[in-house]
Amino acid sequence: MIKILIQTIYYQLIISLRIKKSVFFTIVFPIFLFIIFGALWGGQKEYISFLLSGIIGMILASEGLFAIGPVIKIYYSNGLIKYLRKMPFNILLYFSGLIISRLIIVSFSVAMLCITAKLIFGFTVSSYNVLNYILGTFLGIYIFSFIGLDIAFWGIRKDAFSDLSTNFVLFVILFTSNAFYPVGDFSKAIYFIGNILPLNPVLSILRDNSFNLSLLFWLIVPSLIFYFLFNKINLSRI
Amino acid sequence: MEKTEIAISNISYNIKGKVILKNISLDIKEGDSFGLLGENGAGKSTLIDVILGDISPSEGNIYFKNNLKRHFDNMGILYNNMPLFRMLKAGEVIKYFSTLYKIDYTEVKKRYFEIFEIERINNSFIQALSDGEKKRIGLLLTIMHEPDMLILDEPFANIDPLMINRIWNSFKQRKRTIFFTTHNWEAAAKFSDKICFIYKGKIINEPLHPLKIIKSLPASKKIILKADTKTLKNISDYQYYEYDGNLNVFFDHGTDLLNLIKSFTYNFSVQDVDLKDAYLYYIKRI
Repeated sequence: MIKILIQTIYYQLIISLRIKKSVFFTIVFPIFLFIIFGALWGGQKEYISFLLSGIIGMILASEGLFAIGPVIKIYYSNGLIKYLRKMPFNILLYFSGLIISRLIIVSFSVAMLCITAKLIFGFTVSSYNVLNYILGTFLGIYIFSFIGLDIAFWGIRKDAFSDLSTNFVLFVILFTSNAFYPVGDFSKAIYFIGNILPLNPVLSILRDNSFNLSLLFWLIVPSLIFYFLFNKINLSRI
Repeated sequence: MEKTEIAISNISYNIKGKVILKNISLDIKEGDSFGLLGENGAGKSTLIDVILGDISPSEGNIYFKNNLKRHFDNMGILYNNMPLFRMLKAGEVIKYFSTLYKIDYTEVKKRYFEIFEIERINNSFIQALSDGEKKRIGLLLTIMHEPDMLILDEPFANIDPLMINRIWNSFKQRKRTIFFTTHNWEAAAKFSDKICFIYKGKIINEPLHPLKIIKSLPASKKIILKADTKTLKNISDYQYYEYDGNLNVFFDHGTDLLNLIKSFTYNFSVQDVDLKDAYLYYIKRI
């Protein structure tokens, strides 16, 4: 069982690393963004800390929305899932391998950001920050993966619908959140919307481990929706 | 008496008011190589999906050794569009599936790489392979864990005829029950113990050995000539079917059919009948 899990993680990592777009948006682009924004705002220690956690939140949102939900949907609609279900192992092991591989990539990306923060801006990440990042990463990947799954399985017969919707959701979540700057300073309305959406509660965990009540909603509702969508899809042929 | 491995019992499948499969019953016996032939859209792949439990039939049941529960451990499955990991190399996919099946990759390599000609494509990405090469990988994944039963959807599609022989021989190295769908008439005639035809979701003949099916036709040869009203009128007393703008008239030496045709045209050819003729002739009689 462990061997299957390890091999699944290994090959999923290989697949991810061979997709140039995925490597760019998960590893290269966040570092680039971090350096640009950090330099633009003068590299102040408080802002670097704020921006670092914001960019981690952005990675969690995009990785969860694009690298898990749509991938599982593709595997489902191209018949891989029904094929693997007939193999002598539990399919959940396969999904676990897929998710763990994404967590490894996100962790690597976060580590690269922390190193960049030290090398470029002289900002040292504390062990308290690290604990927050770990907790936030788990919660963020969980929430955004289920949102990604919901969108992907909602439009399971329409790839264009899923891609557009996922992009739309990511941009709305990202630009109403406190990822890059405290939006409340510019607009109370956007701040209100941002607080309803899932990224701000995740950012709160990443920044100071404070628990926002809406986090509970996002932890429960998307997974429940996916449960119902998945059961509905199981009844008919794709 | 041979045991029934798979009993397909009164299977019907409708979706959105459209009949895809209609009251299909078949018994696949232990050790049979059972071919299901039909054109695209006849319902072959849907029947495979029903057998494998991927879709639930509207009516009827599938029994595996008299049991409703399916056990896939001892079964090799080939879907028509095999879902392989396009960003992995062929060798990596085979290694990964060896792990999933808990078998030794080096043993698979030793036993099957030459037969399936894998060495040449081992380092190629799946996405760069041709359809035939992907099919070979799919067939290898189907057999690598040495199952006793194979369920194969279009196993011969895009495969070179010489390689089909080699692959089939490796399938039959041991007594296996094989149920497969195809529209490759020649391969089906060569490799099946029993064949039946599916047309618009219905089984149209009793499953028989290919030679028996061919013998059941009105004659051992056919005359092919252009279909037009005058010709049709002239041969209307003989057994024939119309296909692709041509008339295929069943013919045995010693009959006066040849002279009759020569009296109005020399533009015809004579051929031996085969499975495709049987299929098209049965369809005409529905």
